[in-house]
Amino acid sequence: MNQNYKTHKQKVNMGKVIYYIIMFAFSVVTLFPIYFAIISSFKNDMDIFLSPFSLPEGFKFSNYVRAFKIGNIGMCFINSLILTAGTVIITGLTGTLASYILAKFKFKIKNLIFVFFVAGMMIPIQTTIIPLAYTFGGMGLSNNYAVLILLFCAFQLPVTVFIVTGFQKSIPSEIEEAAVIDGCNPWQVFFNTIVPLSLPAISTASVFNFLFAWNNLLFPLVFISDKRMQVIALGLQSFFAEMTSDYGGVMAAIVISIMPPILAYIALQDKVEKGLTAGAVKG
Amino acid sequence: MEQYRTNKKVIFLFLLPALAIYMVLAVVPIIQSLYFGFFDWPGIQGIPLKFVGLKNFFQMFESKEFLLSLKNVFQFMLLTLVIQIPLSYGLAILLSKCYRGFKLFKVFFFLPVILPLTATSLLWVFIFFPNETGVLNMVLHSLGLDNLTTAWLLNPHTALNCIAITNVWAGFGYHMMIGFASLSSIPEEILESAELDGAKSFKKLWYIQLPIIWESVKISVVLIVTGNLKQFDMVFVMTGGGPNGLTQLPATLMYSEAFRYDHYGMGSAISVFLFVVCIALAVFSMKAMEREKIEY
Amino acid sequence: MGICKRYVSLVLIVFMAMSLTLVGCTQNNEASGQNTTTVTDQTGKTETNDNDASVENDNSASAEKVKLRIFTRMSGASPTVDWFKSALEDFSKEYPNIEIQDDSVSQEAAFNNKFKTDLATGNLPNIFSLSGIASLVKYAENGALMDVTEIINDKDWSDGFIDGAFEYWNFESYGVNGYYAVPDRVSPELVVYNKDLFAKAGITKVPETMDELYDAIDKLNAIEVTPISCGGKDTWRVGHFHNQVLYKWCGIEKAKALGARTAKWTDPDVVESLNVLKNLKDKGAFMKNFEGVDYETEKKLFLSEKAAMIVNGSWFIGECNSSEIKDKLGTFAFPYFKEKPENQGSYVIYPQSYQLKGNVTGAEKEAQIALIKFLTGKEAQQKLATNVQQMVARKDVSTDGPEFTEIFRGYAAYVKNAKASGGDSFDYDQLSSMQDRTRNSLVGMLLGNTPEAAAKEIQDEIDKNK
Repeated sequence: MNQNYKTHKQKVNMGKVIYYIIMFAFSVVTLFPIYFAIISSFKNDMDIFLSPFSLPEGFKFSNYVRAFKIGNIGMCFINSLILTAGTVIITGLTGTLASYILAKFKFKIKNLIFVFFVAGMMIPIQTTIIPLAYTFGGMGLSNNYAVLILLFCAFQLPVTVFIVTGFQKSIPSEIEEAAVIDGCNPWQVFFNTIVPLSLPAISTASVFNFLFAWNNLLFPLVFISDKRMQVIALGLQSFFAEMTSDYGGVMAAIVISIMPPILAYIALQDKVEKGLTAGAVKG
Repeated sequence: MEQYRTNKKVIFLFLLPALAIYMVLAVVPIIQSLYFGFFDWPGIQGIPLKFVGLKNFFQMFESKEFLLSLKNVFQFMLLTLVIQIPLSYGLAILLSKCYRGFKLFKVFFFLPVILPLTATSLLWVFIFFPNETGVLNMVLHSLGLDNLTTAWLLNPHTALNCIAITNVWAGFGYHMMIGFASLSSIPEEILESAELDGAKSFKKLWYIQLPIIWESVKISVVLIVTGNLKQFDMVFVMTGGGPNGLTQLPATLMYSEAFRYDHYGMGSAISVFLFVVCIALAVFSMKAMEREKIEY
Repeated sequence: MGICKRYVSLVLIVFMAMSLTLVGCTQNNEASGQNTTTVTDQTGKTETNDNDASVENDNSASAEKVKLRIFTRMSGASPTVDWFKSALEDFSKEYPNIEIQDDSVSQEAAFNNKFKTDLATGNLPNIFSLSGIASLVKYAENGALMDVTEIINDKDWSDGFIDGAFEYWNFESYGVNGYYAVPDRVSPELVVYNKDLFAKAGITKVPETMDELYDAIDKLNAIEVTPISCGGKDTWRVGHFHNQVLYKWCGIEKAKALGARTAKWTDPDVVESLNVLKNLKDKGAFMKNFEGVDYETEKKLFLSEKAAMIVNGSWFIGECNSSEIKDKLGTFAFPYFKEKPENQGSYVIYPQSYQLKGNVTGAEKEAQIALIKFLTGKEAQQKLATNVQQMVARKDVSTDGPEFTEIFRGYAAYVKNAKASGGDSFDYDQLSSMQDRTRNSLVGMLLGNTPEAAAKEIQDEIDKNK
């Protein structure tokens, strides 16, 4: 037995060495661009070219200062934050309300409505941009965050309803029934029992919604022309276009823009992984 | 309780906000976009639409730019598929061995997925920069391979492939996660009993793991195909469709035709095309896979 | 249960807030629409005569706030941008009721994208600055541009312009009555060179003919200096370079004939002009992989003495003057072809202009007129001329002082010596996609296409849209 164990272990060791070599190699490939952005954001242009891959000597924040001053990245950051928060809240709220009905109530066209929502996951959002530009333009709805939030919401409702409804079906009906017997009206049942119980699913969907709103480029590109309302994805692109030769500044702006998603991922690792792969993975 | 569950007023009120937003801002524009395909518009607000029948569609299929964008998107998809699928699933199988540190590697590989595509694209623009300013060229230079350096995103032979590589980088973690999830859904007992039966790791892989991830691979293929058909951000940021329109994909071409050249009719026709193809692909793949009903 | 109620009211508040913002926005729009009847005249005298209805509300003038959007290429960091920003500040001091929102974007592609989207979404800026003439015609026809004839009638302001400056923007020949732009700067484009590097390479006199230029290129390459800094990533750079060659080889009339469709891009002489550009590349005139270099990097290469020449417009003067090597810089006109002496005096001069939003009435209209008069007025233009050393379109601005550098004088002499001048070759064509088409095809050619194929590509675009 002991003998057996040993040979087994040795074999595993060989396998493990190869395993770790592969894993480290791919980790380097994956992390290198991010590493490069972070170190470059603390260097001046000279250092970027002379020693591109080494750690910076001390932290120079002048690149960040330029990103904030010339690139207005700070303002874009706050704008994106407002837009993203709005999208997450409105989508979470309206989506959960609808999901509750679709998961727990009984009526004729329930399945039809569910399919109708979920079908929206297949819509390529680019195809709506021309009619939206035409109609919104006619109604003077450009440069309006409320409209943009509702627009993001419309395109994120399908996935939200899909995730939350699926989860709510597994909530035992007894809890709800107890609340009804206690005399709660539907609003109270919803906010007292359904929302707290569905929080895992809501947060999973919200992560998806957060990333969608934070990363979206096309809608702000067409519907926001006011420089002061610029969002981060676009602010980044125009800062780059204007100051291409300012490597350090652009790198600083990139680092600022990738921080919220990375922090969200570190904090909510499980939710992020589940939320993004929902629909492709069961459970 | 039955009464509670069939309360029409509640059903209506709770569904209303979501339905209204979804209908007005997603469904109506989709229908409108189908309708727009038959009209032309000079792109000046206040000027009415002009009915042109099928002209936009004829023009689209005759347009060299559009045919090129189809060829490009096909090449782009193929490259992504060929690199991304083996890479992601290979890594997923390795990760599923759950050796020490696998969680950390999983996080590393998934990290690019969550980054804003604009930021990802810009990061890679710096890597592909021409001359000695680009990271890739710097590396080649330091290896003494100067003759390999080029303006990666400008060279007609490399531009599209470079964007595809960026796309692989940004997305492989996603498919790895799908594969990993399906592999970890294999019950522990099956693997253990296989081991007791003396199955070697290769056999284990072949007979137990591959059949199980096969389903996920199919899903990944569909996601890659439909996702890349809609690809916009990356090309828009990295090359803007250039050089000389050589990296245009249907979605970016649609944007350029409409919002740059005032050919809104042509842009709308491309929208309709994209919509029809996406839906057709989705329906086809659902049929083809006959996935078991989603149960939660 | 108290919690329940709080939640419910929270939901209600969120929804109400949402609907209010929505309503608020639409109301804002209506309000600004209504503003149009309550006209204010900032200076107190009525400058224009087409708004009789407005006078009755004159006393609300001090309370009324007007917001203007201005959209130019003056953004980022350059002396011209500094001038622009301080001019807007000066204006705000004089007109505290007019709030100005500056949405300017420097990069051409982003600028064009944004303008087209604004046009489509009916969200045009009040003052903008598009290049070209022919492409403006369509906008003028559709009422997107304001006919500035009425403000030209304000002689105090318009008499100071160079004679005939406005005539350039008279669209009568295109079938639209009226003047649709206010002249901004004139921007001649020539070759700026580094005297030190020329001396090092043993070039004793600036090239006057193309053969001499080829010779200079060889000499500069021999000392491993990039002869001409040029980048293809911002495609307008290559487009501008070709304008120079085209006018020197075919003459400016040819470009006009192309625009009027009486000549074709596939004509042998046009193809030859493309070929000259390609040959320049093959002779090593530009840096390696220059097709991928952006404008910012290109300027940096020249100003850091890594390249000996750059073909650039007078907007570059400010940056030259503030650079460390300003004393080493000189200018000369783009060389001509010995075979074509008749085109020696065909120079590239880009007329720049401001356009005003059309279909505007009332306070907004008064405000945008006030702003354009301020920006192009004597005072602001004098500052532009003195501080940034730009060639302004006003004759009442002096450019004689000792502060004007040799580079500025070079550009000024160039304008004086011009026998004929033209802007971008596509400016004479009404097809708005020609700007990108011509430039993209040029880049495509430099990346490997034949000149014939590039010419055909451009001609196909014209034929397709007939």
